[in-house]
Amino acid sequence: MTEFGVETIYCDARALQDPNYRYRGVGQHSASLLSALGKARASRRHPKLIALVDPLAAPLDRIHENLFDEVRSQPRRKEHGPAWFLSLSPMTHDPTWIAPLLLDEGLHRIALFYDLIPLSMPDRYLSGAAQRIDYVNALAWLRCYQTFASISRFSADALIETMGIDPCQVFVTGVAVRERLEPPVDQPPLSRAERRWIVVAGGGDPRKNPECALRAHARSEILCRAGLRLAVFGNYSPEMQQELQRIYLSEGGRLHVLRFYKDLSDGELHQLYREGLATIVASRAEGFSIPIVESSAAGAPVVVSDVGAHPELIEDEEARFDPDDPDRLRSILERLALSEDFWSGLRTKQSALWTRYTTSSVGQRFLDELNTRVGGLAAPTVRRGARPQIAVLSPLPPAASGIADYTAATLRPAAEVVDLHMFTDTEDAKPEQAWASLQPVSAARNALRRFDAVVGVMGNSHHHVEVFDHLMTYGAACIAHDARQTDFYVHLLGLERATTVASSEAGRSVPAQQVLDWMHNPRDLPVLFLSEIAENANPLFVHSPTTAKLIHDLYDVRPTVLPFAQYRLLPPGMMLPQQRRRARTLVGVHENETLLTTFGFVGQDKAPKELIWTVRMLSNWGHRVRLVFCGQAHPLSKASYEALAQEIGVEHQITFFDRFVTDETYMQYLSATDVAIQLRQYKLGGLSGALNDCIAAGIPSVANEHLANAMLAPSFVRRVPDNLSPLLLAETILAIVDDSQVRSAALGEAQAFALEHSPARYSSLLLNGLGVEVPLQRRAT
Amino acid sequence: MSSPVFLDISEFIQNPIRTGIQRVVREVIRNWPAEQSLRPIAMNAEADGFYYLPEPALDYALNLDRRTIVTRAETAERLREHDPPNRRRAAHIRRGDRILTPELFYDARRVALHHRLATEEVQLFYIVFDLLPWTRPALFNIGDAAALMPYLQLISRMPKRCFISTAVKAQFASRVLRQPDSEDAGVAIPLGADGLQLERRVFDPSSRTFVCFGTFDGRKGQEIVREAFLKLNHDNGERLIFVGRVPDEPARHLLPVLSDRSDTIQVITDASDRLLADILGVARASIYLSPEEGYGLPAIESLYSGLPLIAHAELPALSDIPASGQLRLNSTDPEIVAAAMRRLLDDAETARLWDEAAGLELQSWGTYGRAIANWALL
Repeated sequence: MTEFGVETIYCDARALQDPNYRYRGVGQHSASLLSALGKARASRRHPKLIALVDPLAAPLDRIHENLFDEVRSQPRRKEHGPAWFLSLSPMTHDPTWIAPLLLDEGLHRIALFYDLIPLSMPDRYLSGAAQRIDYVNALAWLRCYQTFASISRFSADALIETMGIDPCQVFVTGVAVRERLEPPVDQPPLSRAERRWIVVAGGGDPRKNPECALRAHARSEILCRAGLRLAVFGNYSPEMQQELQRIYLSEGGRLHVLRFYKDLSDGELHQLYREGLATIVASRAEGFSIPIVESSAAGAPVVVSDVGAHPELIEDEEARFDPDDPDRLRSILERLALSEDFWSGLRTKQSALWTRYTTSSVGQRFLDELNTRVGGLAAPTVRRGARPQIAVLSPLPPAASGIADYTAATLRPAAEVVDLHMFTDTEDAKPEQAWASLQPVSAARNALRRFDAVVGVMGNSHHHVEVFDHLMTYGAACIAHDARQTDFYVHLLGLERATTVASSEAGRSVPAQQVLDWMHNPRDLPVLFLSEIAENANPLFVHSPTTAKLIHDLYDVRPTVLPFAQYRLLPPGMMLPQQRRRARTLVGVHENETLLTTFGFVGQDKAPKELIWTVRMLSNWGHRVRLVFCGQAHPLSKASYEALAQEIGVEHQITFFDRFVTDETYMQYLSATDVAIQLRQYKLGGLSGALNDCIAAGIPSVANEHLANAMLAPSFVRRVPDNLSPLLLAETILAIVDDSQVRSAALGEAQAFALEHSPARYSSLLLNGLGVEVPLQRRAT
Repeated sequence: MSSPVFLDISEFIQNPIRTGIQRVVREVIRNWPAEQSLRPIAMNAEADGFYYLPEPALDYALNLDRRTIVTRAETAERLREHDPPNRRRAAHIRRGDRILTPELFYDARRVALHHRLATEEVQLFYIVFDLLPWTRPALFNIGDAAALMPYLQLISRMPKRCFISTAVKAQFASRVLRQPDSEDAGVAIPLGADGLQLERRVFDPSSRTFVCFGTFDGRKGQEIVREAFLKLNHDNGERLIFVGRVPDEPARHLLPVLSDRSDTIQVITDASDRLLADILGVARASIYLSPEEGYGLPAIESLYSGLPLIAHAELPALSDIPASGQLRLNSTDPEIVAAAMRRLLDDAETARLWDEAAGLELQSWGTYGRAIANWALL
């Protein structure tokens, strides 16, 4: 075990990516504590420190990156064993991004805590509704932390009182002064006579209140006569400077003694403090105040407003003033100018202040407190007997998506034993009685804490974009419907991203054109574009053992196989002889004609040309056959297939649809057909919803070996080699046609298959795979 | 002299390589009876017709099998020199003319040309080699099966078919025509067995060497032969020699054969005719296990040289000869192959098989050429 009793420390490092924070208070404080952890890590067996960064934000600066052992772009825990989670900015960066970690009972969660100033100055910081919502949201998530490292006692007390946090969970670190602002060993302080400035710690935020200092100085004849000019440092725009100058003038000041400084180096800032008779920190609210410590380090006494953490830093009331009382400040400053004893006394009392806030002492305090307070990890709480809460992120009916239908149909049985909360981007999705709730996918991140499991359902259409984003950001269990995600990446995430992923998976640079070629010819695909899903899914469910093996071989992830369920409700009795006769009449099949049907969208990978040649072979042999492509065909493709049919003289035996095939027509052909033929020329373990229907209906069918095996198809689905041959297809079809027993045998086998592939069993296997314990009496049957 | 026979060898002249089919083309030309006129032609796609092949081009392509290995690029360059497209002389095919096509081809335009000629009552004759591209497409990893169909449709429509074996003819009748008992499938004329031009040997009991011919293409079963051989006792200097070309990426299951460095097993990947003759001169028997062959010429050639043969019973080349001098196996189980090899290590049994092999009357290429000419002129 390591020094801290943990193997891994995950750190939300977004504060170090944010230009508003990375080099300022939050960033500096965070970096100093991380540096302390780093030094501890260097000493003995140390936990691995992992930065979790937002891939869409600026990358970490090298100086910050070096603080970590590893940088990751997904906010999730991967390592096993005891671990901590450390947030550098719990109130300033979206807490839902790191929700999986905040909800992880296996982690000890630690927050660096700064202040609750916005609550006391809502007009300034929480004026908009969005700001208020974000802040309240952040406050709510704040309760997920178990330990708080507060920058001051003042902030700690605010946290305890306002949030009702147990005081035992909170300790105070202070904030470290940067090392370059510490006094050099060989540098004595300047004498009082050498000091020509009153220094004002300002800043862009109005609460810094330099106006009080300006008024105090402008009103003082004594300071003027003493030749003590006023130096204001902070990031002030010319307009802000003009406004401050106006105030200064209006109070009787003369502009030639007022100077503004911005963008000072640490050396310049230290020198400015050093040349000051005193430093004024007039802020209206502070959780800590680093200028106080910096000024102390430069040997300049500090006069501070009597707010926030200031009293715990500057205990001497004689050096404090009401931030709305410039005359009180003026009197303190004049006393400092006039009384060397007062000045010396104040300086002496404050001279050692900074030594409590060096990087090493703050860092050591942080480490000591962590070691003392963060003991063994508490076991996660388990709610026994409660109905499990499952979130499912998926398109739902009436989206034009087979996956939408599939999700709805196959998970309904699960709703009998768990609460299913459906998150969908299908605009007109209708609430069902089976669903415990129905919300947009974007809402899922706000509710992660409620769920025992979250399942994202992935496919290649635009219906899955939000689901994919959620999966990439928060991780979840995932049901991957498709054997490849090429189209999803190219069409929905962009060719650049697709090329990047392709190169990563192939282990070489893949040109964009090759990705496009692969998309059009999936047979040539050496990778599946599933690496990111595989990495972010836990567990990953697939429907085909072939796909599972490919994923394992390619990405070293072992998916769970859920046998594809029969989800489409077929009309009862559709395979009865009289129903079939009726369907055959409706679709116009002659009595002595053999109807061959291939179902689904007509694409090159479904071997339409081979099927047309198969009709030619069967016709050569004297059989009267008709082939129907019962699915929409693209007009251009259709024209080329019709041209082939005409060229070889079977054009009157082939039927195409150039529009979406209605359910009614689809069902009629299912009922009417003598032999169904479902082929897939690429071998990635892809499934066929159409073949699933054929199996459910008990239609004697032909499929290539790869597809049939991926579907775990029963024996009435006759296999042909994956390297297709119209001769073999024709022979196989004839073997079915010539077998008078085949249809009745198929119906019997189909019934047994249906039990094994029912939605109820699917639901049960899914819940089992999610590790959701369902009481026996509640299990779906 | 009767009217000439036009020989459509478009593929042979445009892409001359050393395939088994092109070997047959060469033998047909070399052994065509002198008294019969043979006019080699090739398709001119632009003109949708044929042109006469210039003698230098034909000579060059014909003798490629006697040259040292040349690259495809060099071959193409030489052929361009000998057969410049702008100097081609059109061959005007008329009603009643005879065209013999001793090739398999997938060029749809060439198929269309043949169909048109058939409507013009030109007599079209085809040498049909095998049906493996349609019955065992996986052997060739065929992706675009539709592209292979025009040729199959063509030969199923044209009645003048000459198969290289009775087995292929029977398969065509039953599976392509679906008329297994019909006499209309065509004729079967087995290929010549004397291609190696070896003297027939007599049995020498001191020879303990088996020889196994065949390209290392993954389906010849060399790994089974090796496994069977390793089961023998090896008491008396038994040896096994593999002879065959190795493709750029041999099948993984053949790697143990190709990397075998033992004293008793030898792999010869580039045998000259002389070396081949030397090997057959010291061999006791030959082995040819693959049933999935268009024909299996090496098996017949080794029999022709007098060697007994262990072979798969379904090898098409065996369908036209008696089983004499052979141990025909119905399995490729290594145990069964080893048992056959043990039988052939018995001197008495082997001597009997040598006698039988010597009595076989196998067809020569000369006979084959005359038979094809007679068939095409009938």
